Amino acid sequence: MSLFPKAGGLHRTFNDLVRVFNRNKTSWAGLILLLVMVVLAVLAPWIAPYDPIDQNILQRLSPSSTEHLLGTDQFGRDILSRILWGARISLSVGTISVLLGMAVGTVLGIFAGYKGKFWDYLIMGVMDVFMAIPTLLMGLMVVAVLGPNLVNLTIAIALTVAPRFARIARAPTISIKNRDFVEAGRAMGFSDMRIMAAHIFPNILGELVVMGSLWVATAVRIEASLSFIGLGVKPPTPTWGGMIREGFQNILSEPWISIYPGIFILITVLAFNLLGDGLRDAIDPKLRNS
Amino acid sequence: MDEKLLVVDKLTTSFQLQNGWYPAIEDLSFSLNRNETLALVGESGCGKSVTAYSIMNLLPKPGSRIDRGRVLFNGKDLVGLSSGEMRSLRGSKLAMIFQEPMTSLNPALSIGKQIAEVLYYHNGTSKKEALKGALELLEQVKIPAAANRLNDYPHHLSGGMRQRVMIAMALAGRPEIMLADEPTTALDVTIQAQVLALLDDLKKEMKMSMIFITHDMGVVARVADRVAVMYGGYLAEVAPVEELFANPTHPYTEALLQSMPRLDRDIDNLKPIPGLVPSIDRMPKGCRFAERCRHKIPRCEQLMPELLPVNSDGTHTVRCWVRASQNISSGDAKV
Repeated sequence: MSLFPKAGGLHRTFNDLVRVFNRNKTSWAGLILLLVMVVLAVLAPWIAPYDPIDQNILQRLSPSSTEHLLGTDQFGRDILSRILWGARISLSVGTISVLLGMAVGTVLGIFAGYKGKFWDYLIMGVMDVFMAIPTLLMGLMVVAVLGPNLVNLTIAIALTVAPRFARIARAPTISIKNRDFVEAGRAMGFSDMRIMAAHIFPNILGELVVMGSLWVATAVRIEASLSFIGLGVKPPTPTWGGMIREGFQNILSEPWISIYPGIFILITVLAFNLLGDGLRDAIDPKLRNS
Repeated sequence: MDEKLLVVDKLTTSFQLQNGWYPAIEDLSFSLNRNETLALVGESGCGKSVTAYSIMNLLPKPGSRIDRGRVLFNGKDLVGLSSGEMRSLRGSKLAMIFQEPMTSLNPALSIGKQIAEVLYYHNGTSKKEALKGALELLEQVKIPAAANRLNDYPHHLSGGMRQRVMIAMALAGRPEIMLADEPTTALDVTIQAQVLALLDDLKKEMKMSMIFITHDMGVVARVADRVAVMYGGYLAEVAPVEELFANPTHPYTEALLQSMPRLDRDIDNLKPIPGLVPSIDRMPKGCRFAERCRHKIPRCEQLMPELLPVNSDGTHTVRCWVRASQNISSGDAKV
């Protein structure tokens, strides 16, 4: 998680961040929940009680017990182990896809906003077309063309995220490019590329990170949805969305198979949203100086 | 001493309004000698900043253009240079500082980084070396406890400090010419005096030449070696600074001096100049100042006068039908 890169825009606000977080206790809750999730995911190979794809037909569909804390699914696989391993995929797909979409979208957005005219029309036109395609349809298309696997799932989510970030990056770029310090940068002989990368980007980084943390929550949900309709990672690899889908066959008699991974999705999305709200308050200049 | 570092020759820059292109400066010719400070003086809208932006090739595009003329820097014409060639001159050989120190620094970068950036961008030094250089520059512009300031962000600094940082950035490329666009206008008077003294010291120390844009005759008296008074996009009068204050010849220069408060004169004697600079799409045909001039004769409104010398060695030139001829004798007497 690169939520706190040392670049200027955030570095500056780090102290404010701690202060605003202190005032807004729920953002600490978000951060802590998230860290717990990350630690669980990282430690999965060591703390998971069973192999997540190891089937045990004798103990299939068993409810919570001391042997299987969160019970087993229809193949007798330990649900807790699958959730822990699934966290690695859900969190990394969510994070990587947002970072990827953020990188592409930000570059395009800053470029469109800075250059204006033709490039603005062209880039933002294409972005609008992408935005018009619903996320699930986008996932369907990408997976249909490239085949269902982890990488393509990440690409599909990144493609839906990128246009959002292009918009988020473009608007402040247009106002920043007319500020005096950009003019001063030109007077120092800096090239357009340098002005975009070293002068405009740090000024919008704060906003991007806030939106990024909120979008990771969405990406985790999208991953779950795509896995749920079978467009995600192929079984038996555990993902949270895939686990919910598999549990659906027995939803009436053995609901825990779907409910437990659902709770983890809920907690993760909640954590990212709480964190994002805290970051937004920290970066909002009106709140920062109060 | 008399070597001409920068020659501006018949420079004309136009801006686009709704109904066409209008010149903001026209046939502007002047030169800047090595180690000299030339003050460009005039009220708002007379073309001072446009001149500086034209020299730096920083005019907002589209919407403005250089129609004709040359800007010779060390004998090389800057007007036709490619953007890459011009970029390598800006920030190294030609530096510029601006009026608003509060907004001219990037709020998201520490001042050390901002100065260092100019160093490694133009000189190709390593980032570590550049930071060391930034510290030296901060010391050179006399920022107290410079080492502790390197990691400060612009919002930690006062206006005067920020202007010092801007100056440090401008110095980073060891410029031959520094263009200062009203660098002290936004500062309060005590700070203004400090910054002016600093600029003067640095100019001598680094053997720079300076074009100093201002509307404040008090500042002119302090910093300038030579003064070019601009009005309506034309040069009205050019003279060495002592000569100009002793013997202001153009009615506009005279009016500017009379509108300036001075300790040795009663404030009731302040004379504001009636009216405003005409906007660029409504420039009169003859002398641009005619409509506000107390001395005008009919010819003033029909024909633009030439910039003619009024003293024997030709260092004092004036563009005025009424004064140019009259003053030749008194100008002679001065020399």
